[in-house]
Amino acid sequence: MKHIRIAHLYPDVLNLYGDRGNVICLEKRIKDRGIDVFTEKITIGKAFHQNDFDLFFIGGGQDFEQSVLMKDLSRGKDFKIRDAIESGKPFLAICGGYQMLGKYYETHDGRRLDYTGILDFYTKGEKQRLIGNYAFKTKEGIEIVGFENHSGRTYLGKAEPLGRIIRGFGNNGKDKTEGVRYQNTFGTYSHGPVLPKNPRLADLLILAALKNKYGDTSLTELDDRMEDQARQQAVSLYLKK
Amino acid sequence: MIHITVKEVSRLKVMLGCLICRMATFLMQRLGLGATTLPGRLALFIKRDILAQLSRNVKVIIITGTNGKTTSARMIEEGIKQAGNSYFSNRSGANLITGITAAFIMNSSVFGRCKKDYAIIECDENAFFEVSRYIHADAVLVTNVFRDQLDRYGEITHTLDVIEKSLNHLSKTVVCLNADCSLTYSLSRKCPHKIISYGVNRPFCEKNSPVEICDAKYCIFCKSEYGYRFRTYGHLGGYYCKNCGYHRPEPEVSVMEAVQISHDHTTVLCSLFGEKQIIKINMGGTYNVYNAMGACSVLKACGISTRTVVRALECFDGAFGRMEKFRYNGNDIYVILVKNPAGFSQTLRYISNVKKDFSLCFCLNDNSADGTDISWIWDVDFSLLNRNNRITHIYTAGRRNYEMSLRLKYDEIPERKIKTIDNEDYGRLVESVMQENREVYIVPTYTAMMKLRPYLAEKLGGKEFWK
Repeated sequence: MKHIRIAHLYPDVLNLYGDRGNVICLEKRIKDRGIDVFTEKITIGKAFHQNDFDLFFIGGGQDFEQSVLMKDLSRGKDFKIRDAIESGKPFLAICGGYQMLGKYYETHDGRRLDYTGILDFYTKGEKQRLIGNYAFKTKEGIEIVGFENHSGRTYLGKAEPLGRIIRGFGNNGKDKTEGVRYQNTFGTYSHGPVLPKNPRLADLLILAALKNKYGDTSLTELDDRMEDQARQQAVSLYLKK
Repeated sequence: MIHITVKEVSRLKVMLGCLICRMATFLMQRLGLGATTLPGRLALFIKRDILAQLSRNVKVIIITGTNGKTTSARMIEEGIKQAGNSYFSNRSGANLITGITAAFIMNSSVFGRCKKDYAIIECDENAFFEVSRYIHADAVLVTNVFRDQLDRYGEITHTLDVIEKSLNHLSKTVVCLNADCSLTYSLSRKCPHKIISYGVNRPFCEKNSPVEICDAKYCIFCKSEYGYRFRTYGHLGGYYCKNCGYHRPEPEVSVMEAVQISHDHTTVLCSLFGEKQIIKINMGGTYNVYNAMGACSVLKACGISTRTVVRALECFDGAFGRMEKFRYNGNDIYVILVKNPAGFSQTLRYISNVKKDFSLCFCLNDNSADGTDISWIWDVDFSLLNRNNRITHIYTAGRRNYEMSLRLKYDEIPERKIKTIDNEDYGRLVESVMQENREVYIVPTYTAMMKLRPYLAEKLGGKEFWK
């Protein structure tokens, strides 16, 4: 039987508002296709090896908790994450977790916090938070609806965005970009449960994991009527053009 | 020449503020407009610090925190009433400075002199910050600090900062703090007031209760991970920090053990400042045990006798909407308000223990009073419901009912049990509930409850909320 192992990075610290929903969603969509799935929580202080996992997830957190985290990352976990990303493993990073893949975070009063620098972008903090329902479109034409709530403004260097903003703010509220994409790594500000309402994005991650491990090129179709209804409700309330 | 002193001008402004506020309230009620912030806003416009005058001759109790404010306030009211005092409170969810000001004015003479013995004021931390600049308080209760609507308030530590600053506005007050909440109790180190702490000395039941999301895993002072001697729910329990020594204190008011736990009441053995006492809390749920202990602390701080406190908790019959019971055709219909993951999880834990056939209804709205971000429902564990095979139907209603249905699907609730009620059609919802012919638990968010309630009241009796 096929078997997928998910690494949920720092669920003890980065678990802001429903991030868990993404893991719940991945697990169910893998299981419903008759594939075994196992999620391991990689908490602070816990060692792991990137090759033991097929899919990675990291969520968002509160500023208070971010500093606890950077210490732990710098003890070698940042290299493991870099290796996973560079070797094309599917990786979903949200909000705080997304920002941490960049080079640094500059607070609104000018202090600079070094991040992992795995991808070429940086984030600047501002007082005004960017909050609300929003939507963006990926290069495959997948329209993603979600909710953003961030004080950081992210500016991409050479890194490619995950999508173009249709409604809302995205990375910085100015250049219409949203998130970051590199190989099978997806970074986004769509906090909390972005996958359940956007099953096509979930399936991109799952297919990438199965392709890496078993050479699969397609996925079994699932009944997504409820997913579509939830999505349509958000679209018709907030995102109609 | 007429000579008017500064003091007289101030007095005139208070009178004018009171007058206009009353007129506006009267007019709006005549026009059937219900609760709005306008009357209070007008009074504040005329005299920004009008509350200072209005609160001068009354004992003030302030209740703040994330969960349990309303229930605690109602319990405190019951005790104040049973002790033979007159009181008023800011009911109907009017817990911003405008609503609080209006409540004071409606209970004062035209000269701005309060006519009641006690003012029992429920407010969120932001309103507390505003109010505390003008008002004095005899007692403040901080119930707990959980994650709540981050889209509106920012981060948890911000909430704590605001409460701390507010407390430090108050010169002399007794502060009642939940000892089991590491966040709340940290305030004891940050304000100079007399502190009364309360808590639950050991968990009540399920040893293997599901691991819930923890809002405070790391020490608020030194950021090391807490150890726990026990947990009651969420991050509440017997925490201690191995690094800096911060730990749960031995509370002055505490539950030593639960004598009897039932879905509609809990009987506990308590220690009130060393005095042992059996109390029957006339409402089920662990969270209501905390609310009762908070209320005990405040009432004791106000010098109310233990006998009166015990009696108040025994005959207390529920706060509006927080857990309300209607009856139809011999079946009970309960309404339980939910606002955040901790409260929702507690509610589900309670419902999953119901031992009769029943149906459920979740109403999810995303207006600003509910929190515009509905992500939080993904932090609630619905799989608990799969353990109870007495559930017949689960309805989903409200503006985001499909997200609710989807959430249930992903916790493996059978899709055939889920029935959706679209377009916020609460009339249809109430009709469906009445046709169930069994017990029903309706679990709405705030604005859904407000919209749902008139239909329930119309069909099943019960008081109209806004009068």
